[in-house]
Amino acid sequence: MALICQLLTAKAAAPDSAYDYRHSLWRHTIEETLQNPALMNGAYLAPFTELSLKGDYRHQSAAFRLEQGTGYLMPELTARSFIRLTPSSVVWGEAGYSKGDTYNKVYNNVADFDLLYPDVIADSLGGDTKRERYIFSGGYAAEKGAWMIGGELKFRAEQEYRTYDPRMRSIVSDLLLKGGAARNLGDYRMGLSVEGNIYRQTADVDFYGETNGMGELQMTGLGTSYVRFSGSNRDIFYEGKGGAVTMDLQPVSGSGWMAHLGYAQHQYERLSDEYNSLPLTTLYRQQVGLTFGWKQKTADVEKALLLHADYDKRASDEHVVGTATGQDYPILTDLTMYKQHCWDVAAEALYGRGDWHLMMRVGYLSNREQYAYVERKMEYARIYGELTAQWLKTVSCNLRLNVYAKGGYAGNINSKIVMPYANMTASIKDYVNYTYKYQKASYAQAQAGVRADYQPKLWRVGVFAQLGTAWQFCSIGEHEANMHVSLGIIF
Amino acid sequence: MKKILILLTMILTLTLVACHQDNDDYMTQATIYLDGGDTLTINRVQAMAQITNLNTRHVVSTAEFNGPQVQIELLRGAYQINVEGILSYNDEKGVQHIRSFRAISDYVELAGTGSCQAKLNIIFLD
Repeated sequence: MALICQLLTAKAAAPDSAYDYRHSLWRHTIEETLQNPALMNGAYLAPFTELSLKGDYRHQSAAFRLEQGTGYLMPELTARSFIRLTPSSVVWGEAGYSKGDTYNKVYNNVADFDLLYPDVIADSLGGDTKRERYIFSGGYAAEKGAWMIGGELKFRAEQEYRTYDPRMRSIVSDLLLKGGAARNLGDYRMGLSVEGNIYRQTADVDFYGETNGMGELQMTGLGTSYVRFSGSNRDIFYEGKGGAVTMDLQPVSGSGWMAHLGYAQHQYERLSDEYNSLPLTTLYRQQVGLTFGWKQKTADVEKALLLHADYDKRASDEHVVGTATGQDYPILTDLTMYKQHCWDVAAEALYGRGDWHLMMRVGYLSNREQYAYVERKMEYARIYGELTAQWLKTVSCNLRLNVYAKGGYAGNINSKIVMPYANMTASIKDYVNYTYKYQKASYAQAQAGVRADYQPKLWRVGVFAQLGTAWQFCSIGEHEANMHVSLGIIF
Repeated sequence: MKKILILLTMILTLTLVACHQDNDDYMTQATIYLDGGDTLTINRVQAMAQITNLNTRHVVSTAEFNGPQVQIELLRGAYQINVEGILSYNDEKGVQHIRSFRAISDYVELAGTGSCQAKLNIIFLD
């Protein structure tokens, strides 16, 4: 309440500074639009180069999701740059290196679980892993008359490994190419971008201990596995490809109606090294995102009302393999055994006045997973609300502060499980029940952080420091703590 | 403006065409025939057919024989079939016999959409 009172009595907004434009919550209204590289010309008001050393730490008292472990410690060194070449053209780029640890991952022995779920190789032992990641990206955008064009390339190389049994090792290369165009049409700017993606991961699991020759499971969703190729078949690789299209409508002046439509389709084929590159499964992922809203920006006030609808579908085809002739295994047919449907529908209201910004989001989240035969189902639905407040303050001409706080609650309203428990082993039964217990729980979150940028007039280089913390409390009684620290220079 | 709209429509159409079609035709109506050769006619079978999916190791059993054949709805795939029991048959002279038998196949493809068939040769155990 005190926050709202301060907000309403705050003085008129200072003219936009490059700093405010870059860090303000208002940026949320153009974030999706900036996926189109053609529109990067106006992404920042001033060029900058930033070098930072970051550290992210997460600890969960019990894993909220077994496959992702109980937390991580990931220090990261990053360099980012946005440079204006001419008044109508810009280049930008980013390079980063991170090396850290993740803790207590179970039922997941590959990197990029978020991308590949449920088609992973897994066992019930699991453990800590070490992770190393390199990222590079760069882009160019230019404007001529009413037209804008741009292109961007992103590359990620990553490895994740464990130094004790089961010794998993995954090596990832992920390349993304994007091109976009945009055109001013009256008061509005219309943009279109197209992207293509090539992905590859090799994943193998070894056991050095003589007594540890347990089988690896080729998971196929909701606790099922491809039994015929599980066990000693521990060397696999993934080949992925995909593409995405986005369309945008933004008001040129910053005030008016806005819309964003995105469609992405990716597929990840899991192949067995030991069976002559035999394809075991193919995961198809389709994502559709629609944002529609209205925003108004004046010298004093910034207001926006946005409606979001995001749909994410995963369908995993199992390739039904016949008997081998020599080293050739025929594929008899493909069956889409696993499906997941996720809906996230939300409304957002954003209000900014003076140094303050407030954003409220309320929404409905639904997740349905099913396995066709023998039938398995797991479902949950939540209603959630989040409130974010930000205070962007120019304390003096040398010092700027960005202080933010967020609170939220996601309450479960519906959940359902169907499992053939009589046909399941005890360990898989425990795994499935554990997963469901956390899916049907309710979650409360709180986070806060501060970033201070310091640059006296005589310095050519500014320094900044950021400290943030986020907490999540699960209705089961477990909690998650996050800590973020970053230090850097900017010029 | 018109060109842009045409381009957008084309991209949207291409995108929708490129969508993955789910393969939801999971089950097949499988008919398993017991074949005793040309010299005998199988009248009745009392046996248990155990059908194991080679990829999932899921086992389905049935004893509902109708003459020399049994019908069952299965997940499309590759199977191992094991039938063991007693059958009555008429030999080429029309004399009825009742004997124990077994019929096994390590690999049978029952992957067709709608329906599919498999023929198993029997051997007598006595």
